[in-house]
Amino acid sequence: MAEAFGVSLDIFIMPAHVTISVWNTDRTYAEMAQRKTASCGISFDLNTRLSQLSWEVADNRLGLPAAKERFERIQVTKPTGKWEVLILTGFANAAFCRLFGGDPFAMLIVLVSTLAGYRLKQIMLEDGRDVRLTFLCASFFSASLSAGGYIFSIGSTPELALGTSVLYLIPGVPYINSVSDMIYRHYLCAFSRFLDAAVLTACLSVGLCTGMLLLGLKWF
Amino acid sequence: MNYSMITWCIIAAVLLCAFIFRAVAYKCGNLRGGNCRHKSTHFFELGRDTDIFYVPGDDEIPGMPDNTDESDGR
Repeated sequence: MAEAFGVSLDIFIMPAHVTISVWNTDRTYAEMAQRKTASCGISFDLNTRLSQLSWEVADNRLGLPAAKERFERIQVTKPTGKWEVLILTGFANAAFCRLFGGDPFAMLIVLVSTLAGYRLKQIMLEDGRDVRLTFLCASFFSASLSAGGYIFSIGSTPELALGTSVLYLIPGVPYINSVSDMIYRHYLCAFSRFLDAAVLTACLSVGLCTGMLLLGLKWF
Repeated sequence: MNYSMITWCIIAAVLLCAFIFRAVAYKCGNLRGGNCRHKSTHFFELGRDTDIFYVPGDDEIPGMPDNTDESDGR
């Protein structure tokens, strides 16, 4: 993208800031900008549109004013509806259960527990609760509800229902991004992202274990 | 019913109650035509005596940002 504009650039990514340095072709003049990164949820729609724009600039040589105008339009992209995300997450987690060999009863249990846990997560985040507390509560309630398969002897694979009911909480994107940052030698950012994701995973584990402990389920 | 079943039912009931209360609060906010979360009063709150009633001579008037009398020239 920078080549298309006839400049060279370097991006320095920090946990909460991004610094961009842009040089002209003969490296006699440089501009540097630093911005705080916005703390928002992951939007694949936004990512796709930004990726499309970058390829438009690189391949079709879209001019700077046109690219800027498209970027401003992308910035106001509405996030995906919360009910849509809730339902799709429920079905996705049920599909995960099937992928691991769960029967239809286990899939149904996972669907219900995911819908309940994810809705709780949405409510708590809307109310501005701490993300770690939110993950802990959501995993606790999802795990406890899905343990109903064990307690009421529903289906033949209740252990899969219990195991897959909290998978929607795994912070996969931060883990992938931390590996990506590590590959590009952004070690500070990689470590920060990895630690953030690890803390969330620990909260999720605490919620899951508390649910199992309260319901008197055997660990192994 | 054994211990696990009772515990499971309690957990499910707590979650259900949370969702019902949330839905009621949301509906109540819509009926009032405003945002219920910012206007509703809490069941329990920590406050001061002056929040309950104002007695002439109190230093602070609840809800008033500045109680300075303009006539005294300050």
